[in-house]
Amino acid sequence: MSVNVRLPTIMRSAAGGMSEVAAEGSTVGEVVDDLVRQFPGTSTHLRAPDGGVHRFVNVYVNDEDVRYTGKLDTPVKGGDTVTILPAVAGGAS
Amino acid sequence: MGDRPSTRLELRHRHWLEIVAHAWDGAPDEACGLLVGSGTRVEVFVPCRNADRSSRTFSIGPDGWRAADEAVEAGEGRSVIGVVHSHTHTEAYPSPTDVAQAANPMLAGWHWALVSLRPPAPVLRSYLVTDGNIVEEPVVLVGR
Repeated sequence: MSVNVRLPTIMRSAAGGMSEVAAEGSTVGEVVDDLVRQFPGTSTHLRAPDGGVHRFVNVYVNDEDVRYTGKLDTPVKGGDTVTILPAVAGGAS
Repeated sequence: MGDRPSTRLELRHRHWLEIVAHAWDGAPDEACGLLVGSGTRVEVFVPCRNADRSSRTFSIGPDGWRAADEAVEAGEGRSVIGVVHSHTHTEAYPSPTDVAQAANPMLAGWHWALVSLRPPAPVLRSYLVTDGNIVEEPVVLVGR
């Protein structure tokens, strides 16, 4: 099924300048795989050496952080919006 | 992934006020925001929600990024050039957590600005964090 993948400005150069692309998959992992297939340049940002998603990338399905909903196994359905963002975090602790 | 900085962060006075006000509004949690501009110059401070809702950590979620991207697209030659967050009870200096997060290669060259709310008065400082090395850069006010 097709979902919308939304990319922030900081990542768009790796996806032909597009802010939103259609990708196929029934899980977040499959959607990421399809995105990398379509835009190999995104692999640098998205892929960890072990083949998973880079630890500095956060993925959201309809604004829900997949770290709390099953990570790459999180299911998606047609029309969902998957947002991929560079992790921006820190803090005093 | 953002412009390479030189060794300063240029802000308008109103940005300084907006950043400190946002830090106070977010207390006791840490507050955070993104810096949109070009190179060393901030054109827009984008206050963000702290997705962690924590007094010890912060993270920026899709809502903050959407707001920043709107600011990027509203001006010529803009990009996200840095991040600001508050330390509510410690000095305005990158913590080990900050340094670990600054290793994100997509954030290479970003300005890491920190606001300390520790009494007696708010302090805003900025740093470049590269390969674990912390280098302070001057914060320069360039008009209102």
